[in-house]
Amino acid sequence: MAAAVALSVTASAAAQEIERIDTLDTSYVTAVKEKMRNTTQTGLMRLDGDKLRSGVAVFGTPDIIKQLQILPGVAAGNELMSGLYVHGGDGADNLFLLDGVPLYNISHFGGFFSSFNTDVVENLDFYKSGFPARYGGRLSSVVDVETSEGNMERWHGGASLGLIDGRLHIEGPVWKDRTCVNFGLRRSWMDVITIPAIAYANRRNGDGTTARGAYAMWDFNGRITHKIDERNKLNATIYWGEDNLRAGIKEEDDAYMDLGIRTIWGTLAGSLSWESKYNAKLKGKMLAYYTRSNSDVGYTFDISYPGTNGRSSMYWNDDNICAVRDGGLKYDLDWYPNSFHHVRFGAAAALHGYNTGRKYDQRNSFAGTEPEENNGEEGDRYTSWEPAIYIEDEIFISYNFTLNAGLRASLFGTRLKSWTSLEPRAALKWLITNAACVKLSYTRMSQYAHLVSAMYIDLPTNSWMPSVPGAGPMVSDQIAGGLYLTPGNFKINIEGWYKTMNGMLAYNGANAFYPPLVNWEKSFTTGKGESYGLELEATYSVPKIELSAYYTLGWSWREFEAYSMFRFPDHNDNRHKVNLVATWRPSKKWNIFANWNYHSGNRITLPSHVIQYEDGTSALLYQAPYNAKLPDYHRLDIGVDYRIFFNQGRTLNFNLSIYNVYNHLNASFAMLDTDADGKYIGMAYGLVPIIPTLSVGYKF
Amino acid sequence: MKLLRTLLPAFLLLAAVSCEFPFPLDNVSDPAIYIEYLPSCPYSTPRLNIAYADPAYGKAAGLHAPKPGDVSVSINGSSAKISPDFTTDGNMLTLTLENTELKSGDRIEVKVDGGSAPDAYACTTLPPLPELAGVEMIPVAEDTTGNTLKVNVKLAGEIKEGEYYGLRILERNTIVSLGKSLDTTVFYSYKLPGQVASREDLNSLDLDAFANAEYAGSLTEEADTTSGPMMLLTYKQFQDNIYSFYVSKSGFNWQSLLPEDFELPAPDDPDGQEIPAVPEIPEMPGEVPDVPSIVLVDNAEYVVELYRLSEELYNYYKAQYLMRFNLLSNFGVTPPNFTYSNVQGGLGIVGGLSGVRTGWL
Repeated sequence: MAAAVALSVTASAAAQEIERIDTLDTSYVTAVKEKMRNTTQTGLMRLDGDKLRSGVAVFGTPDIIKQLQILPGVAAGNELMSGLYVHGGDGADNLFLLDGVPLYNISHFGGFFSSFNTDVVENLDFYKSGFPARYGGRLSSVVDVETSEGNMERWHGGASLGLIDGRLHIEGPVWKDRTCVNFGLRRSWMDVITIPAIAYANRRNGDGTTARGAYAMWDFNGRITHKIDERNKLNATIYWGEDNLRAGIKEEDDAYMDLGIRTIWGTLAGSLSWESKYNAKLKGKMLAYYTRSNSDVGYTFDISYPGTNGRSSMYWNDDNICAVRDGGLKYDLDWYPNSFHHVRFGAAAALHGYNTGRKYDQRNSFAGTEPEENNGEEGDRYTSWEPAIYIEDEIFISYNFTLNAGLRASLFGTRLKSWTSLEPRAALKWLITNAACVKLSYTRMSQYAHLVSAMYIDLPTNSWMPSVPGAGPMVSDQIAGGLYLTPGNFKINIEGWYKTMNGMLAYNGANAFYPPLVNWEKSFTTGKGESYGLELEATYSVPKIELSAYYTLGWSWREFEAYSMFRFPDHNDNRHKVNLVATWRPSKKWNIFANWNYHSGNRITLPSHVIQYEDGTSALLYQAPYNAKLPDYHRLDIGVDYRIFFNQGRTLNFNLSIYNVYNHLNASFAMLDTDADGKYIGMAYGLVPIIPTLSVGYKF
Repeated sequence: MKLLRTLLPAFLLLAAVSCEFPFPLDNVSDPAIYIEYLPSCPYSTPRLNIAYADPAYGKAAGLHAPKPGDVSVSINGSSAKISPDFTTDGNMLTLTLENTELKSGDRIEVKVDGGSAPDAYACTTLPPLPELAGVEMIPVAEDTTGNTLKVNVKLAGEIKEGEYYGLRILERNTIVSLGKSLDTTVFYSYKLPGQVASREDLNSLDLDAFANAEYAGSLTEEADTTSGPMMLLTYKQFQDNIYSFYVSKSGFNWQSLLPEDFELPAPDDPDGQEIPAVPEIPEMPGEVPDVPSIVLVDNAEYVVELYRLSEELYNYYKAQYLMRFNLLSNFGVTPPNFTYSNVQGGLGIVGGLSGVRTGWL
């Protein structure tokens, strides 16, 4: 009887997900420990909004993706970019969800900043393995971001100004205890400086030639929550972000010339959801959403010049457009039939639209000839639909054993071909003691959408495309397992993984800036990936101090027959990765942070051999892709928060962050060179020096 | 403020540190044998290059080319006779296969005793001959000069996944000119098949499908004038067994400058030789001659050469192409260039092809 009661209590406690981790230090730590013990999944990290908003802020802006980059099992890719290469993934295989809505583009300014405004983020779940069956559509990770509903009691808000952007945030009740709103707005302000600076330079130049150039990015997050009653709640969310780059040069003399480029790219995502508690054992959430990621890369060429027969002119305007649009419905249910089961099940359906196109307008008028005009539009349009159903059951087998077993089935239909996928998911937890458990998981994931990209940076020329014959879905299988300890104030996780990826794509063309969008699959070759390794995570937490150490020993391989007959290491095959994170809160006014980041150098391709000829000349040969390693990467970042408290909870916050404190120029790329003796050497180039930034924020 | 005045120059000084620094690459590679077997088909001579490849970043070990006795070649399991070529140079040994008639389906194996380097081995099977169902050339209506032709190359049989092709276009210009007397000149040039007929089609331009290889070129040797660009095609680039491309006639349509009522002289040249309808294709395209002052007829004709490439040869040629043109790969922002090799224990390529050609079109 006692055993039955104990089992019931444990099961009941485990069944209740921790909805919100308290931000107070001690309770935060306790909650994290509790979460680690409670969850059956491997590879899960939950970060709450306050944690995401604190710490080192590169360029004065807290960045979610850069915080995820320091976690074990994650490679960051190129410096300063928002790369997220999880367990050997290719960076375009992460599922980003914002309030349940998938996002295709999650960065601004070529990847320097992520699209997530930390002011409005409530929490984030990051899965690297052990994916529950409710998630699907990407191979390597799930980043599930939930925005805050807002405060039902009082109005709060804030404003902050960083090195490159400013932020506004406001939340509060529209109808006390029933309806509240939460809005966040960010905008870069570099153009405020560059536009007048260029105008001033043009005026000083005074030779009839004027240049222009401006870049701006902004994003807006909004959420409205309405409690219908104690059992029903409605949410409406929106995210809208854009980047806008314009540049050009104009020359006015006898002849007139105006050359300009303009690029606009961004994301719009909106959702409506209805959460209901049907009874004590069943609750559900219906979600309808729309998400769009689009870009427009254009140029204008306008020229006219005098001649003996009169004036001639040419005007060309060209816009290349690509977009992916999703409209979708989801219905998720949570059912607690008894103390031994927590069943989640649901269905989803999405209609995907991918289109690429071009608008052109060309008008030529040469003196003495008939004017010519050529304009129109052309493009390709792909449509696909993707229904999916899933079920997962958290089964409390005994006091010590919990099993999360699930299955996800999905279909991806296009007018050319359809694919189906059956994805088993399983995770087993053995609670050895209250401070120690062992977990094991197996997951299969599939991905039907491909990022047509040939660069490691996020460019507006990248576009998403559906699976097509010749470039079908990608599939991964992953086994992960580990030992999770929480002795005293420590939390120690040792986790290993082994993952295979099939159907991966790699660009095999020469036009890296703008891969072709018509018949795009012809420019890609398919291959396999394999990744395995060990992660160590150790955290020591006391109320004022938190010390974390993350270590990854990992291997990441690729097998593309068109590249090489043999497998070769991936670009981000960082054998060792170490991240040390320290947070010290000596008082309410001061927070001090330090991160030290180290990883084995990224891989590059350099000539491997040389054939000498009699006349002293030589030929260089390449043996394998990514055959060389850049020098090891390391840098130290520090940050200091200083708060001045006023009455009624108002605070003024100063943040000083220094990126790369000891100014170690890490190699961004490398080329071949020769030394004084004519011997070939590798020459690395580092581009990112020390970057100090100061930001100031006010909260009320 | 005083602190700022002190810190700012310090930051600037730190940031000004040189961003260029050498790094060690001593362990990137070990000595290896390089094998390059350029493929055989009716229009070229097989060639076998064997080289001792030193690690690129170590001390040069001096010249030490492999010896002919270190190399063995077998065709369908039978040993083939090889002899050293007179062009042996430095660490590169060039061999030729003697009295060897190769045909589709032949399996060629090359083994090299590496000495201080690991032994190397590679093999290939000559692919079957491609079957041409037809070639049609259609003037592009939008080009009023008549210089642009759309070419549809149709293959017989089903094109399967994993098949690779090469395409070359030989142009013959027959020029009837009027100088001091009527003269006829014929010259030849290889064309690069184009993907677009005009600037308006630029959006459909697939730069990647411009991948081409200098047919006679190799990794270690710049192509000479005897070679022509071979367009590299995969099975993906055929639609309903047809690959379409454009060619633009070399030079200028001189005929369009003549008055409409201009009467052409008789097609016999003053030397008494008739303009041959289908002259022999020369082994090597000739030099472009000086064009006389008045050109009366500039007639362009074409031969389409279609090759079937073994997969390893396609990958090798594609790698060559990308090494020449994908310059961004050195900057760490794009995936690497292909570095294809099918040589076990060493590096290089042993690949095969077979080909057919049309008559003059």
